[in-house]
Amino acid sequence: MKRKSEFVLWIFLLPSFMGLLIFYVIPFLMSFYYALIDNMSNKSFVGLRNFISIIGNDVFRRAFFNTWLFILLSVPIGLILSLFIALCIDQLPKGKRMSATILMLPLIIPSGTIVYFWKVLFNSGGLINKILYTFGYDYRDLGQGQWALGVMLLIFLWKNNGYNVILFWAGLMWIPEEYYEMAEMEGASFFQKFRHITFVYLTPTTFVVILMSIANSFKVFKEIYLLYGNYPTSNLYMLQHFMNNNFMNVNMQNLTSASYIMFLILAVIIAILFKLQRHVSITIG
Amino acid sequence: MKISSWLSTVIIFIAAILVLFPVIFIFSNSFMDELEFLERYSIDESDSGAFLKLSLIPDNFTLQRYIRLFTQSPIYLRLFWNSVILVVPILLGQCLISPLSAYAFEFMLWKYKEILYYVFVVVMLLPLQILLVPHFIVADWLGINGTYWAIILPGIFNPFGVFILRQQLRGFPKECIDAGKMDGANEWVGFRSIVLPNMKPAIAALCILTFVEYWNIVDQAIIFTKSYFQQPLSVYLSRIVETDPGMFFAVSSFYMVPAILIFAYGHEHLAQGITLSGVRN
Repeated sequence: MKRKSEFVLWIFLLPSFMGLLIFYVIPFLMSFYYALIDNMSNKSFVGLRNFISIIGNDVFRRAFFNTWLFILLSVPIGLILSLFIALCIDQLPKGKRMSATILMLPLIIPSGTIVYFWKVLFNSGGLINKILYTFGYDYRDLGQGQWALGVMLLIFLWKNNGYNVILFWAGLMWIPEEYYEMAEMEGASFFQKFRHITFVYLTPTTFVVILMSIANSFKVFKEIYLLYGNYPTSNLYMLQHFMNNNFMNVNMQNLTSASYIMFLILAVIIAILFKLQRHVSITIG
Repeated sequence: MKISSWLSTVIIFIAAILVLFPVIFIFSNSFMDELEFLERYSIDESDSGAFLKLSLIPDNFTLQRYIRLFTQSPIYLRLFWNSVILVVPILLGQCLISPLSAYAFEFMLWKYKEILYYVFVVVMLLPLQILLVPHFIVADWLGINGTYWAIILPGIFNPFGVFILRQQLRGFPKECIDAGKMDGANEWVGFRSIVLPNMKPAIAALCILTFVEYWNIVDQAIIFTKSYFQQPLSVYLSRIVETDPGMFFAVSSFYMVPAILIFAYGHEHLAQGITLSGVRN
C-alpha cells in the first residue's frame, strides 16, 4: 500500500523532474565543458586556467563587486523597510487589506511601461534635479556616476517592497494575540515584545523574504537594461551585463566560468539558509 | 485613536501615493497631444536650468494616441501579440505540472526529497544569465534556436511554481489525506478532491506571478530573439522612448491593462497564495 502510493507520487513528480533535468541541470553540467577549453574554434583543454584568468579580469571583478554590493544593500534594506511597513499596516484602524493590496501593485507593472517615468525623475532635467536645483545644489544625471546604484535601489524597493510586506503582514497575523497580552501583563516593553515574540515568530517568513529578495535583486537587471542598455555606467555594470556581452561575443569560456563561480556562491548561501531554516523550525515547533 | 495608528495611517498613505504615482503618471500622460508632449518633455540637455515639465493632467485631452495605436501603427499590436503567444503556453504548462509535483514533494516519504527540493530552489534563484549557455545548448539539441520555444519550454519547467505551491501545502493538515486513504482514496483521488480544491488561492497566485514574470520578460528575450519584430512588447517599450517617444505613454498603458485586470481579479488570492500557511504549527 505504502509502496504503491509512493510510486504514484513519483509519477506526479516526474514531469517537473524531467523538465528540470533536461532544461536546467544536464545542460548546465554540460556547459562546464566550455569553462575548460581555450576558445570556441580551437577547443583545446586548458584545465582551470579560465577560472584563474577570469578572477583577474577587471571587468568581471567590477561586475561581481557591483552585483554583490547591490544584493548586500537591497536585501537588508528591503527586509527592514517591508517589516516596518507591515507593522504599520498591522496598526491601521481600518483598510488593512486594501493598503496591502495597493502596495503590491508595482509587482505586476511591467518594468518597460514605466522606464520613461524613471527617466523624467532621475535624468539631469528631471524632477529630483529640479528640487536639488531649487535648493541651490548642483545637479547631474543621477543615472550616471556614484548615485546610479542608489537610484536602482529605489527602483528595486518601489517594485519589490509590496511582496515582502504581504509576507510579513501575514506572518504577523498568525502570532496569537494572547502572547502579547501575556507579555503585557508581565510588563514587557514594546521592544521586549518585538524581540521575544514578533521577531521569533517571523523567522520562517524572514527566510522566504530573503530568498525572494535575492531572486528579485538579480531581476533589477531588467530596469538597468531598459534604462541604459548593454553598457551602462561602470557603477551599474552587473554580472548579467558581463554574461550577456560575453555571450554576444561568443566568449563561452568567460561566460561559463563566471556562471560556475556565481552558481557555487549561490548554492552555498542557499544551503546555509536551508540549514538555518530547519534549525529554527525545530526550535520553534 | 492611538498615536501609533495615527502615525501608521500617515506612513501608509504616503507609501500608497509613492506606489501609485508612476502608474498614474504614465496613464494620464497617454492622453496628451503631440505638441504638448514636445513642449513638456523635450529639453535641450546642454541648457542648464532647463527642466522637464511633469504633468498629471494634460492641457488638451485627446485620444489621438490610442487611435493611432489601434488603427495606424500595427507594429505595437504585433509586438503585443508576441507577448501573448509567449505567456499563454508557459502559463498553461505551469498550471498542469507544478501542482502535481508540489503535492508529490510534500507527501512523499523518500528520504532525500529535501535535497532534490534544494536543487529546485537553487535553480529558481539563479540569474537567467547563468542559464544562457545551458538554454542555448538545449535549444540547439531540439532545433528550436531563434524560436519562442527556446524561451517557452524552460519557462514551463521553471521551478518557481513548485516552490510557491509547496509553501502553501506545508500547512495542509496531513490527517485529511490519511483519513481519505482510510476510506480507500488513492493518491490521485487525494490530490484531485482533497488537496486541489484547497490549493485554489495558491494556484491563482502562481498564475498571476507567472503571468507577471513573463509579461515583463526582458533577459531571455534580448538574447533569444533575432529581430525587433520578434521581440515581446516588454522589451521594445524602451526603444519607443527613443524612436517614437510620444507614443510611449499610450502603448505602455495598453500593455499594463492585462496585468492590472488579472491583478484586480485575483489580488485576494495572490495575498493568500504567496504567504506561508504552515508557520502556525
